[in-house]
Amino acid sequence: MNFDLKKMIEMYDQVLRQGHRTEIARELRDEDDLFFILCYSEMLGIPNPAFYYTLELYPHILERFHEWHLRMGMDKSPINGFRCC
Amino acid sequence: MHDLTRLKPVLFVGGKGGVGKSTTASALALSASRRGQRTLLISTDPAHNLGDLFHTRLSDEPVEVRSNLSVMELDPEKESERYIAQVKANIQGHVKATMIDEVHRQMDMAKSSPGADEAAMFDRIVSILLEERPKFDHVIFDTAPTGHTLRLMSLPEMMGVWMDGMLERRRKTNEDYTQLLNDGEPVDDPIFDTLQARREKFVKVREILLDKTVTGFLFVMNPERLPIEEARRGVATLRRHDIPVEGVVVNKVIPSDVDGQFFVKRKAQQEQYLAQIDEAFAGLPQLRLPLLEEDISTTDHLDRMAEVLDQAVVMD
Repeated sequence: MNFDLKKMIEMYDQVLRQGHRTEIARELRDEDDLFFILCYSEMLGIPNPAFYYTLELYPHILERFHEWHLRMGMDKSPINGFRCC
Repeated sequence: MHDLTRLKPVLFVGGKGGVGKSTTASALALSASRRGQRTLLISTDPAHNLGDLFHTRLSDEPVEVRSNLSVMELDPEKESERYIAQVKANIQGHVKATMIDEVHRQMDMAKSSPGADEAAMFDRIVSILLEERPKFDHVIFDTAPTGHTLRLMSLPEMMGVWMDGMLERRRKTNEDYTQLLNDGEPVDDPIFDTLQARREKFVKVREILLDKTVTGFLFVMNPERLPIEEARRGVATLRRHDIPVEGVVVNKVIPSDVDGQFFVKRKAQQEQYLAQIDEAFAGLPQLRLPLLEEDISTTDHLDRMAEVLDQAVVMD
């Protein structure tokens, strides 16, 4: 009985959260977009002396870039030499 | 009376190409080693004349050429290779198998991008400063020409700004994901740790470079217009970055006992330039080294140069 109540509360909690989860995820994605524009400023022609010291981010970014251009409504990578798909 | 030969633990010797940076740095290093100071001399100049000067095969690891004196030569291209290999190792295991070729292709492209050699070189200098310095009393860099050197010196500053912002952003993102989407399980992010470690390394080195009790920067010039201009710009830039300037070395000064019309004329012109130097670098200790009868090509010459250094009058 006690256990069922716990389950009920958990379900209720999830129902409450559900709407916000999408919203939060979207917000985080926007954060990521910004982060990633920072990382790729180099490609946009803004010289970034730190670029070389953050090369480890490249695989991360390649994946995110892929998600990003799909989100932006482009099926294929818009940047030549940036082959994520 | 200021003594330039009582060196700071870390010294960078800059100046226009051809003014005698290698010679000055080598003579300073020799002079320190003869006083029983454990000295490491590092060439970052792609021209690599130190090997010729010491008649020894040098490498990118310290080689002892005399008691208390070790020398190493850094090769920009090799450093770039090394750096990219390290990056590839760091990301190994974090890349999907389908992606690995593409990622490696991009890494190899980065190796040939402008500034790559310089960036790799700086990374190595940073490592040397942190790892080798405890083993030596003096570390002397015979740096490449001024513009290049200054960019290396100001890089941690530019990087700091960008990396702070970036890592801050990344940390925030990680925390948010952790709390909101992973039910409180921390997102393991080795890449974050790697960047964080590198950043901390740069911060440490910045502290060394900006510590006036540890680091000094010397400018070498000849009594000629272009080298003077270059040194003047160099000193101004360093001051803008709060990097301590130790003093200036005026190399190849024609001795007063020259004979022959040609040299008398040159000497007269040189006097004007020396006056300009006095004016432009007022307040900085100044060391004058004579133009020798022979070019400096052996360690005997260097020894002579070191003696000249030891006895040279430094004008404040």
